[in-house]
Amino acid sequence: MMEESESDSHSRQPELLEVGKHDSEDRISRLPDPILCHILSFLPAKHAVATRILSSRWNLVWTWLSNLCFDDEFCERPAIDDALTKDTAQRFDKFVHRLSLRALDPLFGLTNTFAGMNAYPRIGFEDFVNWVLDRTNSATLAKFSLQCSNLTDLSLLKFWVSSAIMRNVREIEIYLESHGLHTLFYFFERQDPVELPESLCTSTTLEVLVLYSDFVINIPPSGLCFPCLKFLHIEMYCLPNNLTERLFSACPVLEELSIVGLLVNADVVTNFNISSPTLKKLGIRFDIGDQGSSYNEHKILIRAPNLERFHIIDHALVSYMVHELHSLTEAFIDVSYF
Amino acid sequence: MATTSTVKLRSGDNEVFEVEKQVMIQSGTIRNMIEDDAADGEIPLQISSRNLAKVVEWCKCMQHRDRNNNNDNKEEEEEEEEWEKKFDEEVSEDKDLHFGLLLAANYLEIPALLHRLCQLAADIVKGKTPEEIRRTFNIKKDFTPEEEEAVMDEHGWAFHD
Repeated sequence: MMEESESDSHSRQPELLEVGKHDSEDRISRLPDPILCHILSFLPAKHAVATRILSSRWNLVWTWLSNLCFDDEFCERPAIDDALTKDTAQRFDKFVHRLSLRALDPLFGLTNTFAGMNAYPRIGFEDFVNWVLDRTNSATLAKFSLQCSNLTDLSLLKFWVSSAIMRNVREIEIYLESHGLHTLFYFFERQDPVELPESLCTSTTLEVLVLYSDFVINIPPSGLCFPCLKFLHIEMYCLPNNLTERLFSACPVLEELSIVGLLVNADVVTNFNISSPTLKKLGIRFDIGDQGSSYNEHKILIRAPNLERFHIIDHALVSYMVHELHSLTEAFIDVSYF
Repeated sequence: MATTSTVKLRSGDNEVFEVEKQVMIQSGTIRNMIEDDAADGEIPLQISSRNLAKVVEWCKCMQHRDRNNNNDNKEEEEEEEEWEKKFDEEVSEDKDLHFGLLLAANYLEIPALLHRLCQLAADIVKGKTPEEIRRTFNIKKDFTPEEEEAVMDEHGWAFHD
């Protein structure tokens, strides 16, 4: 039997590993750092960082994490799943069904909020995110994900996103429960949307952006933004026209777009413009946000000559102007109003 | 110019696997050898025959899946899912296999396999206390009491649920 030794680079072959003779050996700690980091990248940041207590070998491994997924454990974000990236209508259906359950179940936010109340010192979460961003060394982040139920200092979010952008992040996912569709409170009080940093729009590394909350994004005057963004999922309570008329046409390489929106204000007509020569998949779900909203002439223009898959679930009776769907292979349309 | 459509891989314990090049180009390491015309003889690998057989089996399954991606063959799809499920179970229950494959996938540069194996390792770690993780993987706590205290002090709260 060959003795195992540490192998820490691609250039060296792994040692010959024999069966059943290493039962009591610590094999995992001998894996190269990049593999250990890869393993940790599947864990929420809190648990990944906690592995530092295992042994001196593990004390610094986490500092090379490139996936930073912060989850304050109070909120469960709605599962976007891979609905729009996978290839079947059923999966999309399931995803939409789940979204609607969350959106329509006022107790959902409540039970979650109380369930975690005693378990976790709130003050710790924001400090923890700062601490981890400060201590991790990866110059390139694969993913920055934040799920948080009640962030009090919103300027922190802007700072965190800026930090991730400066570290060439490829994927950003943000869900603030207090600012999302799925909270108990959206029926009663609307929070101001969260302002995101301008550097988000100009990032040359960002390919995936998933926003589950009300946000403000300032689209640059040139009209072009998100130069590398391929996947955009937006879920919003308040969909202002300066966003809906511009954002979805401003991403030059966008391939997949999904929009989940509550159209609320009966006085304001929302106009969507989705014009994209690169778009391949489009998913839309519109609901009426509150009982008081009356039927309104919201409009959506779709001009996507390369669109292949198109899914609409519309309970708000939006009117559609659709042009140039030369490449469409699959369409799912469910329009109803009650 | 490569002359054959297969490549021969020799395991660390001298078993030779003859596999279609089309299957093995999922490995960046082997693909480079093929492109450099360095794959016509046997390629010696310090990977045990058991692990190498598993890697080859995995590559075959993935290639088969990719090739049939556009077919709507439900039966084959189910078979593949079943195979992957069995693969996951087998790996998760056998540390030797799991870590052997991790190193092999890393060396052979098969990103999708590496990704899957890392995910399976993370699934094992998930939900365990540090002490349970140590027990599961035979990790020896080698901190001095002072070092341990320093780590816990820094943010001990992260280690408790």
